[in-house]
Amino acid sequence: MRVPAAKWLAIAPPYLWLLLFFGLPFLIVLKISFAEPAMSVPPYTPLFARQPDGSLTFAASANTYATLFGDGLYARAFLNSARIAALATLAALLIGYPMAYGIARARESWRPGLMLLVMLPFWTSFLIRVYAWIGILKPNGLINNALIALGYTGEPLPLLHNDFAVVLGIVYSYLPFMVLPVYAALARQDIRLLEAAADLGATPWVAFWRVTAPLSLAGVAAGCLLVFIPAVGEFVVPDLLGGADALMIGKVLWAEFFANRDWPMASAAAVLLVAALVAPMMALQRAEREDLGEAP
Amino acid sequence: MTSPDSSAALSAPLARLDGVRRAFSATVAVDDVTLDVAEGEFLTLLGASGCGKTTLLRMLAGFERPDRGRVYIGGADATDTPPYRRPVNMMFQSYALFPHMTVADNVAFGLRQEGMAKPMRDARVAEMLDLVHLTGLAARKPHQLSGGQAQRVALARSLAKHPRLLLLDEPLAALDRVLREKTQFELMDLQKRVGITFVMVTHDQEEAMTMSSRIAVMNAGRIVQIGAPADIYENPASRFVASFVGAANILEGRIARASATETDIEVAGLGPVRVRATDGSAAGAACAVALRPEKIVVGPAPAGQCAARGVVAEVGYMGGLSVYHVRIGETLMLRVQTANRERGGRALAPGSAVELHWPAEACVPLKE
Repeated sequence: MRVPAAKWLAIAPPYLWLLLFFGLPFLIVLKISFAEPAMSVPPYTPLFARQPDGSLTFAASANTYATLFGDGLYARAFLNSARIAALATLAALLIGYPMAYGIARARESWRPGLMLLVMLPFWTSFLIRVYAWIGILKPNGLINNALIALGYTGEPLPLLHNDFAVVLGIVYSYLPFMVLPVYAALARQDIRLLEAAADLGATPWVAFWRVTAPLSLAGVAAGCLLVFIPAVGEFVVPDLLGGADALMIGKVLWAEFFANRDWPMASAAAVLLVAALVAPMMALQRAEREDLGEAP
Repeated sequence: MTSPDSSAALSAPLARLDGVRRAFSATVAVDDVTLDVAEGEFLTLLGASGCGKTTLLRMLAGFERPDRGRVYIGGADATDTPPYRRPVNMMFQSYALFPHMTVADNVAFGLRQEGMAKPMRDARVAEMLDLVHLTGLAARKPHQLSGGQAQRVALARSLAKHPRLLLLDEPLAALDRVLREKTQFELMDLQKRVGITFVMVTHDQEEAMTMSSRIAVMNAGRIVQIGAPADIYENPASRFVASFVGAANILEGRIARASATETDIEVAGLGPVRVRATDGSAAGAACAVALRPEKIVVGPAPAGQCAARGVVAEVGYMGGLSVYHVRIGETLMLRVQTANRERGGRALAPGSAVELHWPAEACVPLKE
């Protein structure tokens, strides 16, 4: 099948983008993950080496992967990251869906303003916003001071440096990524479908669960992916709000790169993270295509 | 097929709109409408877009609450009853099929809300799909259906609960002409078989004439005339009805002589036209007369008939019919329609002089 040149021009940018900013860097990381750490610049052994006699040798090592799978620390970091990210995604869905629903059903003239409010926090630095939560959550922070002053508690509650704080920080940071796609799915729904449901005897509650909710699943799936994926690899939030022992893969990656200078290990962990995230995403996309019954 | 206006008033109405009014900000969509829907009839709300007919239908369905007036269904006041508690179902103009459900699930949706057991539900769905000739498409999704099939699914879905009253909002508007005409007769046949009262909204006067047992012609939020199709067509009450339902020559004139049985109206450029007695307007009052194009005969006038001489200005050949615009004098143009009965019969050429005549009772005096 011949694709006209103009069409290629339109399709090309996203693919070029993907190749330049994902494909090539990923290949470099993949290459490093098969090397051994070394005291050199860069700090790992080359995959291909030219010997003094002029011959080319190839030296790949799977040691990093063996360690990754062998040492329980990495598996635990992966699982803990997935657990925290899943919790945060669920919380973001429970908070974000009603928000998106409210905006989608608001008067049309209000919607752009409400969407602006959702996105407004992005205008401040992400780092500063997460940092600000320390001031709110710490033992003598805003919340604890208020609770003690009101006499609800004598001791400050442990709000900071635990999983709760990490989930809270992630939900706070990524909530707009949940609201936007869910809103888009809800806003384009035909309101007459709800009239049809009501006409056929469905109360508003039933109509929501049998019409609105199923028809917004694509938006929910997109929102969940947009929150879950960055949350799994999140480094800043667990580093600032999490406990010293908070084991998350983002922090492990950082430690391997900068503290241990073990680039191959860090690269291997990154490769596994990508593999673990891309596989379910593709499965979901396929399921979605079949489920929503897109016209063939 | 025709049910005179009076019969609707005799039996207790299935639904009644009593002095309802509905305004959207500054626009009054429905203005003080009172309407009875009789059990078993096929009532059509006919009017141009924006005349309030859809708002009226949506009041019966429960999607619009009247600002004033009451809505009664089955004798009970349903003004404040939400749509999901009314014994009424609606077929939407856009069909509003649930895109994530199969045809069978769409049809079963209302039955499920009733809590009907699955075996019974399945049987009813099969019966409904059979009724609209869609057996075999039960597992399809709406996007896999043609326009005509989607229309039938919407119909089956709205009939599945055996509503006492079915509301149809421009049910055939999205179909092409051939399919629309075929479906018109199918719908009429179906209405007789299921015995459900239909209230339909349409802007298509031919559709309304073909299908309805009673037509309510609407204009600017009000019902301007209601009656059997033949009644509306033959006795239009106003200029609006005369020109909206079918074509009509509207002749402006003045009452020359009025007696108890007949009235002569002096029409400018045509002379006196004799009609039935008008409602007591005195001589000298302005009065318009409607004359249907097909009531005018081309040819020399027999004695006692109204007649006119003119010149054919334009000819429209429509196959079974021909339409002529005949210029009479300086100011008057008459639309004349003749049936082309003979194969290859000669049509009148533009410019030819013709004599026209029509029986006196063909002219209808208009009230407004």
